[in-house]
Amino acid sequence: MNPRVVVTGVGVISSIGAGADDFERGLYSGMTGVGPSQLFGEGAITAEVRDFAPQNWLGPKGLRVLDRSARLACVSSHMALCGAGLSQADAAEGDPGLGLICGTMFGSLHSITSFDWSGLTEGPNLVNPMEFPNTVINSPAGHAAIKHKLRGVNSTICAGLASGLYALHYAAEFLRFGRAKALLAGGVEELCEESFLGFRKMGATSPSGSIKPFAADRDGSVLGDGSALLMLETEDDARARGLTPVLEVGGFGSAHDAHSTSAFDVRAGGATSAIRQALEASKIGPVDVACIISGASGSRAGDLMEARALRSVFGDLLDDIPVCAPKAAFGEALGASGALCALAGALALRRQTAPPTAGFIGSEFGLRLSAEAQPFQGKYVLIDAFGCDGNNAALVLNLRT
Amino acid sequence: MKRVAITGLGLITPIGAGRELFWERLLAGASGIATVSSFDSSVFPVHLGAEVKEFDPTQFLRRGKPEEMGRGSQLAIAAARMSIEDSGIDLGSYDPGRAGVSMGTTSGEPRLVERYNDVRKAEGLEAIPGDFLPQYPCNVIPSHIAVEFGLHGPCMMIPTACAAGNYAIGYGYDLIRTGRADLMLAGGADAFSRITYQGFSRLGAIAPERCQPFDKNRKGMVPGEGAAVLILEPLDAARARGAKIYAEVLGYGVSCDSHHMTAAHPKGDGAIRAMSMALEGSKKTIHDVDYISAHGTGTPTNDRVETIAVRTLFGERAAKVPMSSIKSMLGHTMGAASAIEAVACSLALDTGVIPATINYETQDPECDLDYVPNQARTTHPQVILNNAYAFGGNNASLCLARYEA
Amino acid sequence: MNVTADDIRTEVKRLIAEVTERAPEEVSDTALFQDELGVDSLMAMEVMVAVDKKYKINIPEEEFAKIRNVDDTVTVVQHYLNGAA
Repeated sequence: MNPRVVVTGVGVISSIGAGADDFERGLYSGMTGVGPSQLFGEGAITAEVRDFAPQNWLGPKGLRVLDRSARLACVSSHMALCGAGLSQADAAEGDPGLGLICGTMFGSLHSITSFDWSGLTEGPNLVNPMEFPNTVINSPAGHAAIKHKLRGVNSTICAGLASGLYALHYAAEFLRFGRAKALLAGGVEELCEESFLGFRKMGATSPSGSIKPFAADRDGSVLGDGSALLMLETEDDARARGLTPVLEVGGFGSAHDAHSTSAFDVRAGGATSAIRQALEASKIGPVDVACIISGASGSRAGDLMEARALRSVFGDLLDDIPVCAPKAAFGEALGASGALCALAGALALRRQTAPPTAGFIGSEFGLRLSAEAQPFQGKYVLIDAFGCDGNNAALVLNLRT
Repeated sequence: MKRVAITGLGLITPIGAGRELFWERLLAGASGIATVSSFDSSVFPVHLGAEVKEFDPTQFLRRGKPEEMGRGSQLAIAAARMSIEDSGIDLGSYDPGRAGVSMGTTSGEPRLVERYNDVRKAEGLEAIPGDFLPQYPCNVIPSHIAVEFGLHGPCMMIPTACAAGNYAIGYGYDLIRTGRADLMLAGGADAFSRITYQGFSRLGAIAPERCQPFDKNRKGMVPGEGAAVLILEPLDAARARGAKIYAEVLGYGVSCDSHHMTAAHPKGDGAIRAMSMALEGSKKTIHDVDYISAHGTGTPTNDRVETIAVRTLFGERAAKVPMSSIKSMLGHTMGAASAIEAVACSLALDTGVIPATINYETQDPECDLDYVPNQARTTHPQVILNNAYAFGGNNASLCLARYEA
Repeated sequence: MNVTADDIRTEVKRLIAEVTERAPEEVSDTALFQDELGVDSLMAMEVMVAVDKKYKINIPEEEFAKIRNVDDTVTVVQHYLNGAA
């Protein structure tokens, strides 16, 4: 019998809130984190974490050597560890069964670019050696491990926009195999000048400065940043600690379109297959899905692809399933977005209410999105994460009753 | 759980491309280390690198175009194509949805960042081309392999720096043994980069004259590049198709030092736990292990700590288990290193010969194990540990065994 | 360049204070970097690069091993400043 894997803690920092309660309030209020940028100024629109003050969680010391993504990851892991009652702050040595599986997409892009730039402009002998470790893609996970004494598996997972869901599945598998006792899993992404400029140059940024998932006049994404990590344990371990877990990590599906590394495959073969696999792995059918958390971020092709995939799996059932596209609230947070969406799904299940889709007016595809919260009754929520590199993932979360 | 076989080996390295040439040169003690040619090294105090020379991506790409991807992806596709050809599999006979890719890397496509900065310096930010960003994130490397070969299964990059190849092979092994995939292309890739070079140079970690792992006079590592891809499939399926089975993957172990971003734990804590976990998962003990493929970068600290870790775990048996570092010949190929080393381990199990540590001259009192100095040796190993350590305090050990038909 | 030993001492203390995240007054002339102030090899290198940059000198890595506290650092920096002059 495969051990069940449950959620026992949450850490999150995003443009709509820091900490699970704040994030939940923001998400259900229908607010959006899309707005003027503090990072880039001059009329730039982003969904970045604003007024980010990592010292509020981490204290004043030890921040100097951390870049933004490491700070985001350290803050969300701190929250999840404390929330789960697994903080190692008072332990002489950390627990070797405690680890971190961190999804990311661009990882250390800003640190690696700055380190190279410093060599180009000042000469390679005058670069700051302290900045070199931040250039590796796994540096946020490594810094978080040092800061929070996480001595178990420390993996970083990069699967484009699907990174966060891949990380959750990877962690759940490690727990089922008995290779760890408790794992933080999710994603982190920082917004930096290189990714911001790059998205604008490739024409993926919304000229209207808003995310309108599935809308007929959607015109692109707005980049966000942040980190979401869920603390996962086997149900037996959680119960042994006296907890009564309510949320279980269900089935996972993944499929690559093998079509392009930079354009969505609007035939939606991979996305459809990923959803079907996730349902099969959960031993449920489309009729059991009570709510869908969409990865739609206002992309012309991406939203079309997801709508087609949902329609081909759910058919007419889709007319009655509440859908939420939470990136309208927290932006396209790339490698962190899968985990942020998973958290939205977890909240939806617990409240038996799909969160509002911020600013929603209408869908081109007849999906049941709403600017208001939508109550439902059911045990299973589906989370989608599809990327234009061809990678597609879907995850089911369910209530443990 | 299914048993997992390695049935195809493809690689491109500083000492040559393809299984046969690689193995012949590796056993002969060939060195792929020379003066850096891909950028001007005169601004650095050191000049050695381990580059892949005369690489023509068009030989390997059928669907992808070299100008539309970074060098990391090109090297990865080359290794994948050689691995598929080596295995003799017919991709058309697989359900494409159950054939996937699991890769590791340290830096992904760092040359795109170099290009970004070169354009920025010469012409300013607004001159940055629109195609720079989509090809940067390291998930494009496995995605390019998926596109090139029409693989629709799980596809991911595990960028856990210099231990990444082992992580990726380990995860491919997990997907096969649990029945989630029927075929996995697993390995690692990294492109030579002035950024990596600058970092290690500034740390004073690059050897000025040669790479001498475990030698008393060792002065550092040598950055390199390359790629390796292994074909993993269920053992019963491999047998059924009459495949050549190089080795069996028995298990792997991973851990984090949680100590320092660049310096290893002084007592080898994480390294010991990774090896123990690999053995436990493989249902083997230290008494079964008869060769260790060392991380062995050639830096004073790494080689000393790795020796301490092996001594601590193996006790008296440590001196009886040969442990060599092929980085003495290949340099440190970063995220590709442990995948290339896994290829070498597979071939050692298959042929009975273990590769040497070259440039070994003077014994270090702190490194007193059998490092297989200078001459490859016929020992007929049965069970091998392949060690890899990385920035971030990451450790990964892979356990491979000889397969007797 | 006319740099006094006191200038160097102040600068080195400022740098050590910065990398170890304490006030410059807490860095004495003789406190051992590694054992008393918690300066690891990466921090030491960061300080040396900053000193190189500030005084436009090039302290070779072989010298690092000789530097154990602020006093040692001042001596080494002065040596290379004079050598360069």
